[in-house]
Amino acid sequence: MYLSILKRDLKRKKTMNIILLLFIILASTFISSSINNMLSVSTALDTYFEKAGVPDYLAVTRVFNGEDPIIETIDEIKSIEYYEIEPLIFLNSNNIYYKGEKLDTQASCILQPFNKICLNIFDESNQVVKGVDKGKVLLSNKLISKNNISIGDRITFKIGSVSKSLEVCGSIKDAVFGSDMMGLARFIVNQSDYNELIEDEKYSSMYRGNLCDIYTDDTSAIKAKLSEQDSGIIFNCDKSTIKSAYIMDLVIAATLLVMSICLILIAFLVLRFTIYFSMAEEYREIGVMKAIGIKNIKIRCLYMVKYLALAIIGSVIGLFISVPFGNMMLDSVSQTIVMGIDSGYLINITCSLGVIAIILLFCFLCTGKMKKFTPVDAIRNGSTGERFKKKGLLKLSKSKLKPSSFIAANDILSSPGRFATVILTFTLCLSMILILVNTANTLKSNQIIPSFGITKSDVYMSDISKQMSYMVENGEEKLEKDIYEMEKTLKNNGMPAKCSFETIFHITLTHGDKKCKSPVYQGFGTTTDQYTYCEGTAPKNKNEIALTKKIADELDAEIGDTITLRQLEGEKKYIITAIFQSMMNMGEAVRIHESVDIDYIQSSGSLAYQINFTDNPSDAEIINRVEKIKTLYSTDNVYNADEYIDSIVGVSEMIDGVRMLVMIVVLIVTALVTMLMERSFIAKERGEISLLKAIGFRNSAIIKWHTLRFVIVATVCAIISLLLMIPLTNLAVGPIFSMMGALYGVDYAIKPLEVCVIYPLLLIGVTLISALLTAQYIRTISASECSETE
Amino acid sequence: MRNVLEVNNLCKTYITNKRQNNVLKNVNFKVEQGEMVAIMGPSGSGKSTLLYTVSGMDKATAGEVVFDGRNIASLKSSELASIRLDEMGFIFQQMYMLKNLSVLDNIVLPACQSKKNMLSKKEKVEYGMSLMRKLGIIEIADNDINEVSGGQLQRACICRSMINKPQMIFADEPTGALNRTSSDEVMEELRKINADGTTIMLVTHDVKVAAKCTRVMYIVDGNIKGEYNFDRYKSENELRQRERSLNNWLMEMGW
Repeated sequence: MYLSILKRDLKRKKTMNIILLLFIILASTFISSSINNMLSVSTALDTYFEKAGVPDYLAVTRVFNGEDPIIETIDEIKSIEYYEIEPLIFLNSNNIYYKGEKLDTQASCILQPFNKICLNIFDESNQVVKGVDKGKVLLSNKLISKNNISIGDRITFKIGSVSKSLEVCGSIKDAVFGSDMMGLARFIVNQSDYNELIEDEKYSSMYRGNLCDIYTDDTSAIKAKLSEQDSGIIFNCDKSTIKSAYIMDLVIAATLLVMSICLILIAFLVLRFTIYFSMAEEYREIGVMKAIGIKNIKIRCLYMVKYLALAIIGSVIGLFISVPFGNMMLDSVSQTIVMGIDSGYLINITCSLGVIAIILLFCFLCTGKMKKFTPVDAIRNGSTGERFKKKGLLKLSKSKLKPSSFIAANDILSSPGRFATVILTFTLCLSMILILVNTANTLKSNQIIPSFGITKSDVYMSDISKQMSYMVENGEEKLEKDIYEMEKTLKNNGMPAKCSFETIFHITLTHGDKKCKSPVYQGFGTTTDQYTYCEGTAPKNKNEIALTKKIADELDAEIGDTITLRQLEGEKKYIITAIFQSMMNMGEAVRIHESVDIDYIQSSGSLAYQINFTDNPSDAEIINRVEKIKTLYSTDNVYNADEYIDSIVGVSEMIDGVRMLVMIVVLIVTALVTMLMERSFIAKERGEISLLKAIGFRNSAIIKWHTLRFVIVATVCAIISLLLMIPLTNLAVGPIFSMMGALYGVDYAIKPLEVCVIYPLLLIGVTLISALLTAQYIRTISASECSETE
Repeated sequence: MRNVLEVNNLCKTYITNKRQNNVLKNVNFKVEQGEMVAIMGPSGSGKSTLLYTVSGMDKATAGEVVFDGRNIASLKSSELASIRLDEMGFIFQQMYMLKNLSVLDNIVLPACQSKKNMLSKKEKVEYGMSLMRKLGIIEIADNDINEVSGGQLQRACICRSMINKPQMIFADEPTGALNRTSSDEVMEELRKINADGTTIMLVTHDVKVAAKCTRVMYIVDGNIKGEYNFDRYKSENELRQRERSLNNWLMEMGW
């Protein structure tokens, strides 16, 4: 009998059953793919680092006269289990050419032979690279996309007197140097090619180095010991620092995580809505069955069997869709990280089973109500079960709205619960877009320049080889001369400007028994009061210093304390006058007064030349001048403030890709939810639609009524999302900026046109179109159906 | 008297499960202004189909339906909607109203939608209230539809059908869901409306209801088998007599 009733039910209530099935497919797809992605993303870095075999501690050193000074130091540390040395040679953009032009690396580069690399390097399809053939070179996918290199193209290395052209045979995912924030790009070649490339002894003796992979349980001991080493170490960090360099990639991954959570929430919301909605349709039938003496348990089983059948069909279809859908989402965020977990399909299957269980649970809870009903109650309650509830809130007689608009507004106010699913779904969808838009705009805006601990300038120009030339004794004099020449050249070319420069020194700082090594910034051509500080006042004298909160905490120091800097000139004491924030080195930075005498031989790097025009040019003129300066200095590495921040953060392309993906997914979800909900409402309101037709309402007026409801809801959601935008952005992205070093928060770049107009209108537009198209079904309902509806 | 409705060779065919079902077969009749016509017949004879087809709620398969001089069978659905809104009124067996609106708002809704009704919104509301007052339901004006009785609701439906001052009201078993007292009250209201000049066509199974009309058309198997004409009744006694004679006539027709 069950089968016969079930067959008839499925046939008779075809529309609602199809809607329910579609919602189950949607929910199953979202839940399966999202949970799989959440697990992939949340364990992404750990899994990736484990697969790659990233060492516990890493040091990049420079070899002097064939000897690496660090090896002696490392040998003294007892806690080291073992270490491996990988030879390398330092390069810069002057050494690498693509199609006759210098390769845009935006960072220092290293060249290594493949067989000496200790960790696993992965190809595009996340497989471990087994080797590099002679005449071939591997480089990171970021460099490949940045320079529009195609696989098979040739790159020419000019190292000293040696020039050799190699074919790009693939892009790699490099766990250690894969992130832009590590500031080093790795090129991997065959051992024999490497040997040929370093044949020029004059060059290689100057720029030879080592990559030291250290395996230990006690990284702090190594850190402490290496901080005493004054020269030879270019860069050293532990595994957690390497991880934190992926913070921007994790921002992208976190976006996927947030999107997954939202999609799961949406899936549950729509499931709950559809099951409660379709069950409400059954009240009368339940009453009839009770009236003729069928037991509660039997009636309950009947509906459970129906929902089980739909749940199984929907979940299986959803399971198959979830695999390509999940992969599509992961692909967009796994350009630098190997993502994906091995037991992927098992998780998808488990999730689909979970969806079936959830549907049955919802159904069980819904049918539980029937126990309380007497047969008469159920029949009287009819399809709504709301007979004695106060409904209308607005009065047509007092309203200035046209009938269609009035009925739409009144429906929402009278039964807000009915629209709760749509409201929550749309709010989640729009909030997701707005958070991402704000994050992307902030990361591309010059508004966050102060959060990087530097000053804002009109133009930034980077020339790594020239900048490296200051890292010598009397480097400051050379810098002064270059800055003077630069100002003169710019003035002669009609661009009067004041130029400045930031030099970085890696210096050991001590406060009491606390010790750490930190990048110390000194401005040339700027004064300390031009920078932004979060607490205290700018250093005004030679013996005053400003620290980031992270360094201050590490040293257990505060404003007013005196710390010691171990410079080549000897130990010097400084009074802390201010706390600032910097996202430049994951929050580690110190700023000394511009008048402090410090030998540039101990400098470890620098930022770009900063150019501030003194004739207040317009934004358009600045863009023109950027092009002029590019020609003047024959370089492409000239940026305006927005482009410079983009070049530092380096994820704008990826975040734009994710923004597009999220937007497409969100708009598809919005359209699907709108269409399915509207179709459900039409099925439910067939009687009212035919009544309105019977009393003379045109199709267009009824379609307007149905469409307007969704437009009003979407507009309300847009307002809610806008009100929640700042707190939600802070909640979702604030911790990430904080991890990057902006402990005092970031001034978000909110573009009113985008967040208040474009994206809300996009959501409302998609809702409008989806509702309007679905509401065309109303045309098929005849006025005479009034006589057929119960 | 001029004809408000003229039906010529009206056919209506439904196709169900690939089978053709001829519900109305060459139906011909005329309704004069001010008439109150009852359509009777056994279940499945095509009464409601006839009502919905001549009122433009359903499309005719063939034939002419001339309403107020226009063949509405050839009109577009939007034009039909305008005619239903401004020139016709409808009452159904089930008291259909929009659940989220108050009784008064349900009544005034067609007036607010009408472009031909030139009254201001305030005047429309006042007219709706005057109709409610006339039908004795003014006290439920602000009530929700689930707070009133079936009889009150059906009277509210009558008010709604009257709001745009239609030429003709179509009613499909208007008393079918009501008890005898409510049924009598509703019919009395319809009779008064008819007496004021509004033409009424209704479908009913109830001899007592049909006896209050001026003409009864008996339909069998999609054809009008016969018609029975009355004058307007003047007393309750006369009504009893009409019921008896109508009953006898219906028996002759095969009722």
